[in-house]
Amino acid sequence: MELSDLKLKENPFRTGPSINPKDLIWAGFPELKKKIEERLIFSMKTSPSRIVLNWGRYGSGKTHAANFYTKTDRIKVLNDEKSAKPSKNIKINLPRTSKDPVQSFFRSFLGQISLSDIKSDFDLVKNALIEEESIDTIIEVNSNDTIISDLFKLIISDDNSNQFQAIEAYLFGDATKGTLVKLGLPFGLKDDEQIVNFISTYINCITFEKRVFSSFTLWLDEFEDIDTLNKQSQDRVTTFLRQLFDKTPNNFLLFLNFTPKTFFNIEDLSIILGEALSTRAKIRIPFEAPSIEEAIQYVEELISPQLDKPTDKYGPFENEETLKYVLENIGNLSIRKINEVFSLIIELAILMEKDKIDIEFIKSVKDEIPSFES
Amino acid sequence: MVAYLDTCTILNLLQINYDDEYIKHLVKSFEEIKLTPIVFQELGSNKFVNVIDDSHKEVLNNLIFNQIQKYVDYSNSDDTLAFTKKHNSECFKDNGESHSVSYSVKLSRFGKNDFGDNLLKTHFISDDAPAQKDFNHFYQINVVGQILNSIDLMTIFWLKQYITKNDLIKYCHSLKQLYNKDIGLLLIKLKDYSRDFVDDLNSKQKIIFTKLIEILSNIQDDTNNKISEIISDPDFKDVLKKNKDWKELLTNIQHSNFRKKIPYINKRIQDLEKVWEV
Repeated sequence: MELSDLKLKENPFRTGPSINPKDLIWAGFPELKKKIEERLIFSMKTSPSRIVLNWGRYGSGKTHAANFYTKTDRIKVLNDEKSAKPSKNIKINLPRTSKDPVQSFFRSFLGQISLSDIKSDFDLVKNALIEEESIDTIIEVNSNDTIISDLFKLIISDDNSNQFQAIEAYLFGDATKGTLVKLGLPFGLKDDEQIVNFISTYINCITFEKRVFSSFTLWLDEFEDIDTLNKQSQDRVTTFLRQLFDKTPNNFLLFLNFTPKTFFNIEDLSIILGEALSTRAKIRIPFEAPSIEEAIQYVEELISPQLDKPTDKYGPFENEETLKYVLENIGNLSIRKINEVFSLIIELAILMEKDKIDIEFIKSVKDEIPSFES
Repeated sequence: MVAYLDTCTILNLLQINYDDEYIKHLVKSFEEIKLTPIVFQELGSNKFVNVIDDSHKEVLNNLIFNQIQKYVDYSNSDDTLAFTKKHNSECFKDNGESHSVSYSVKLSRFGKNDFGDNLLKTHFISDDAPAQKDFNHFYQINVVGQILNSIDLMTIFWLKQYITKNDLIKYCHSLKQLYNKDIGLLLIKLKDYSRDFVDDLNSKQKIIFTKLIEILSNIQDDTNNKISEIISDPDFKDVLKKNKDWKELLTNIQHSNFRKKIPYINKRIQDLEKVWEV
């Protein structure tokens, strides 16, 4: 027996992270989507940089939201709808290395925004220059660090192809004499502050007056893991974020994804973030556990695109009551749990050659479902 | 004032930030700080239990040998050890706490200028709450001084203006994280595994992972039973075989008394408003 016997093209319930943008769909939760998109639109259309705290239990969809808005073309649709210039969006996991969390963050940053990306972004800025303006002036206005300014001038110059490798090595901490001589720079990137200067100069320049890009959004995922870093590393991460925020006063939107734990909740977070950051992280978006109705809507919207015949609203499930029966019996609901449980039910139906999933069938397999409450 | 330090307190003071900041404040706050030889031995055997990062091991080792070793009290305390063993027999063990209490009792009977100068001025600093409970009465009737913990110490540092109230709150917070570290690490390992090896896990195992992560993120009174249930599930056992370090963390979590310690710290943070400051 196969999925098609269950009137489905594919299993609608994902149990692993999806990287392929076509698999990243937003189902249900229209209010949550609206709240997130309000923040994104605010950032596209207004100047001040902001921090938004996304909080909710494990499996509540925070990482999915970050993936959805950084990997699909949803932001582009919003840009077009709001007649805003494009936005840059990246997702980075909180660096867990206690040795050098800032360097580790920077590596992830450069992993997503390569030197060639930076160069082509600056080419767009060059094309948008107004009369008597030069790209060098834009860089100088948006950077308060002469080494970093010189570095950007090097990156964007047109005859630097043979230097790209050296610049890359330099960014990753290579400060040997050979590299410095080749690049004509006096010393290497010395500390966390210069990494801040590099990233803030880049964001400030490409979003300058929203000419080329309207905003830069960073989703910092799994921020709760900061509690496993030692105190110095925590301080380094928060100082880094505070400086980044201070030096990028416009067009920067930082989403912090945070999963509260028993002894590390949202109130504790303000101690770690410190006053400077926590007072700026006043906007909070709760990723709450869905109600049964919301969960039903979510399941329906996941099933819908996979249906062979759109008339079979619930696919292999007999009716809404069947969905409800499952949802009411698997304890606290989370998006992850719903996907895992329904995926298993579909697998069990195929295994047991059952083409109709009704309450009776669920009852017969409930011992096979670890979350099912007896 | 004299302070005898217990093993767990020294490790807490050092492991919070891996430097000697708090030891320096301690030296400034007390006329003498001391530790018994058995506490120094315990430091040697327990120092790396909580440490993951190799570079931290080196830092910790240096701190223990350069900043702590010099305070070991090698004076002969056989008489008071025998006395404590006899009269506080139900609690006495050959360990750091019992020895520290014994040494404190003896030291309190002496002083710089006269006998008994150190009475009520000799304190034992221990973050081991059960030991504190066991020895409190004995300590009190011997008019030695007080049994304090590291939060009391930080309060002294704050009132002496070596640190700010905010630093004190941060210390409490870091202490919570230190006690909670095994949970944090296990959660990371479980999350990483369920993401990186998603194709190797069957659907049932995925649900069990989610269930375990939920349980560990929301500790309740019945958490230990729930963990035991999951550990005994054949589907989870298969994964556990490949990840032996999880088993150790799970056992630590089940045996640790952090569930009591952390609410105590939270209460201390709340109670700070009741501490009068000039």
